[in-house]
Formats: sequence, structure tokens, C-alpha cells
Amino acid sequence: MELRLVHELLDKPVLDEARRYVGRVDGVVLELRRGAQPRITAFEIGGRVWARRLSPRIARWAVSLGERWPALANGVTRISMQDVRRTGITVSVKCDGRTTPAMRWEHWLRRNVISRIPGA
Amino acid sequence: MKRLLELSLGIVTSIGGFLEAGSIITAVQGGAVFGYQLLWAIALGTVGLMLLVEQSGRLACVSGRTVGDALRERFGINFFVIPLVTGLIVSFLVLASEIGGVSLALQMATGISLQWWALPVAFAGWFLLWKGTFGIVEKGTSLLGLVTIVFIVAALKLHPDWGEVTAGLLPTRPSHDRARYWYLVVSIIGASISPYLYMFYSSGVVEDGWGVDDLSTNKATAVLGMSFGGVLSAAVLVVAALVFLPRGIQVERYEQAGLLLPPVLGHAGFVLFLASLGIACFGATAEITLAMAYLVAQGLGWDWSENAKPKENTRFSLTYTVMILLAGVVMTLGVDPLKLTNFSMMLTAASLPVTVVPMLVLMNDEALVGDHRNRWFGNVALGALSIIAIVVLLSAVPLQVMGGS
Repeated sequence: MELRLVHELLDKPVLDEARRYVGRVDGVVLELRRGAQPRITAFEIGGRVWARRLSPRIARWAVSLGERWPALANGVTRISMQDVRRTGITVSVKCDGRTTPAMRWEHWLRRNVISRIPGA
Repeated sequence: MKRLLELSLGIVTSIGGFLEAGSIITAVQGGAVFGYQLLWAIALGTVGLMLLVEQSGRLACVSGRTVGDALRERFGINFFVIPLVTGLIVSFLVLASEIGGVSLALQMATGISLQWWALPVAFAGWFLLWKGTFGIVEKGTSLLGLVTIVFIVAALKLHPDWGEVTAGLLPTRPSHDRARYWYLVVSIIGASISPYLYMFYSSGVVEDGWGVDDLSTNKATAVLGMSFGGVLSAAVLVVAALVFLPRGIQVERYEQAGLLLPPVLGHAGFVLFLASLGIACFGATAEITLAMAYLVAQGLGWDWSENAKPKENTRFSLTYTVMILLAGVVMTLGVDPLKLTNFSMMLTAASLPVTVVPMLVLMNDEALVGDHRNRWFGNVALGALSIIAIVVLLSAVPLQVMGGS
């Protein structure tokens, strides 16, 4: 299937099977094939991924920040294109977004910070 | 009937939420030095804002995407970081100046220094966001903001020469102090067309679940709400022109603005000025803080909604918590709120191209807005606004140096 990478995938919001936001498509994993068009095998979500797109220096900074405060760092979430239902204005995937590393920081903040503030 | 009620409420909240620290102070300064001569800058800023509000609302109604979403999705992260970073810096300074505006109103009411008020004001703003819903934040503060209609009452009581007022709507060359004149023109445009306003508006359209059926409501809210709001700003300038200019009062301290209404309305005028300043700035405080959290959350793909409980969107609620408290801390450090307001309005004006120019692309993208994309008039108007925004950007630094003191 031919896919317009920028128009239909990159930077689009990712919704899980319950239509919850998981993140945005921050990067793609390409398989380079001799004599054929490259194939998108997966996409990735995570601060480190988009930092890599901005500049190598920002990417290194993002990695070292994650190493210093692992609790505050989301890991990189990689979702196979086989799990993608639909691309376009949004990208729908066949998985539970709550269990992905993309939501780790959200869960940590809920448990350790926000829930402790009255009225949350 | 429901739609008519919603439309009326939308227009009323646009009027009540129009004025804030920047629009009040730049209009007062403009009227005090140049009489009605700067009314055209308010008119230009209002038309520009009307255009951007209508188009960002249309984008959100048709595509379900906010301006923040669309900027990231259409242009990618490498471009998106520019409006993200400039938007956050500029909005943070405007937020601090709004907290300064509320604190100053409280200082003038109680005699207790604004530095003592800054953190309680930031906390009150945070509490509103923490406990409130989008409707309460937007409509509640804006309905209270209707007190700012006092400026129209005062302007009418002063019986301005309507011929001269109308003449002020056409740009004229200043007879004196040219640098100051153009500095105020740019500041007034910055105060009128703050990017946070249309970012906030498009997020509100999504929060309220508007769709294609609401396009006429969106247009009416943008045109009527912003027009009446512009009249409010113009009324502030007219009152300043009739009260301050003949007395030779140039506003060099925020407190001087408190003298604006007493000559017209007596002691009640002073109280109403403080109420207007306090409420208008408090409403803007809540809206700017939300707009910043919206921009970050939408750009980075986090869950966001002011209508959800804070623990349901923790990164979003933590972002607004940190922003508003930090801005409160800045105002406890003794920053001059007038200088900060003037500087942040100039910076707002200079930041316009990074959001205005891309709107031209977004509003012509068939994938986003389909048949509701801009016609020739929308494109010509937005193109002209983009050119003005670029001219403003290029002139902002020299004007800040020459006319900002």
C-alpha cells in the first residue's frame, strides 16, 4: 500500500482502540530494500524521537535527561504498521494505549503528583 | 432558540473578555499622547483579530483540529517548535503582565503592594482552572468582564466630537514624537491580535464540540463579538484623549491610569476602573494559562481538556499549574507591570508572523477544511495581515529602542 508519509502519518495524533490519545507519530521506521521503494515497518512515539528530528544535540540532551530522571522519561513506543487500522488526519491503532511507554510519564505524574493535590 | 442563545452568549462573552492589561494600557497611552489619532490602529487590530478568530474557528469546526494541532500536523515538528517556543515565551510574559494587572488593581484598592498580591492572584487563577470547566473559565470571567462597558458609558458622557473620532479611524502622520507614535501603533496591534486569543478560541470550539453546523455561529461571534470588543478598546482611548490629553497627563506609571474615570464618574469611576482592570486581567490570566497548556498538549499529542478532571489529563494540568505559578513568582520579584505590559505587547506583535502566515496554508488545505477553505476575500485579507505582521516584526526592535522608553 502506498502511503503519503507526511500527509497521512508523520506528526498525526495516534488514537488507541478506545479512541484515547496515545501521542503523535514522532518518527517512522523504514526498511530499505534494494531495487524497491522503502517500506514503513513501524512508527515511533516519544520525546527522544522528535528530538532526533530537531537536531542531534537536542537528541543527546533528551537522552541524558531521561537517564538522569528515568521516572520522568517516557520510553520510545514503537507500533508496528500491522497494528495500524487507519491513517489520515488521525492514526488509529489496534492496541491499548495505556500500557505503552508513551503514557509512562502521564501515569507517574497521576500517581505521584496530581492525585496528591486536593480536588484533582 | 438554543442556537440564538448560544450566539448571544458567545457575543456577550467576546465583549466581556476583550479587554485585558495590554489593550487597556496601550489605548490609555495612545489617547493620552495622540488624542484620537491612534483609533485606526485599534480598528486595524480588531479587524485582524476578527479575521483570525473566524478562520481558526472555521478550521476547528470543520476539521476538529485546533490551530496548535494543525500547525504540528501540517508543517511537522521542525516548524512547530518555532510557534511553540515563541508562543510560550510571549504568552508567559503576557501572563505575568496580566497577573501584574490584577495585583495592581488590588494594590490600588487596598494599599498592599502588588508583590504581595501576585502569588495569591496566581493561586486564585490556578484554582479556577483546577476546579472549573471550560464554560466557567470562559463565560464566567467574560460575563463579569462586562463591567468594562463602563468605558463606553464614560466616553458617551464626555460627548466627544464624533467627526474627530471618525477622522481618527483613518491613518494620519503624527505631528510630533514619531517614534512613540509608531511604537504605540505596533503595541496596540500586538494587544489586539494576541495569538493566544485565537489559539484559545479554536481550542474552545473543540472543547464545546462545535461542528460544521456551527459555522454561522462562529462567524457571527467573530464579527459581532470582536467588533463590540474593539468599540470597548476605542472607548478607553477616547476617554484617555478627553481626560488625560488636555491635562497633559502621560501614563508613565500604571497607577496613573486609575485617574481615567474619576473626572467623569466621580469616586464610582475609580472603583469601576479597578474592577474593570482586575476582572479583565484575571479573565485573561486564566485564558492565557489555558492557551499555553493547550498549545503544549496539542503539539506533543497529550490528552487535553479543561472539561476533564485534572487527574485525567495530568501533563496538561501540570503544565498550566507550573506556568501560572511561575508567572506569579516573576511578579513577586518587583518587575514593573507597565514596562512588562508594554514590552510583552511589542513582543506579541513581533511574534505574529509565525502563526499568521501559516494560517494561509492551513485555510487552503483541502484535507483540513475541504469545501470550507478560504475564498479569494479570506486569502487577500489574510495575505494583507501577513504582510502587516512581517512589517511589524521588522520594525519591532528599532521601535522598542526608539519609542519604548
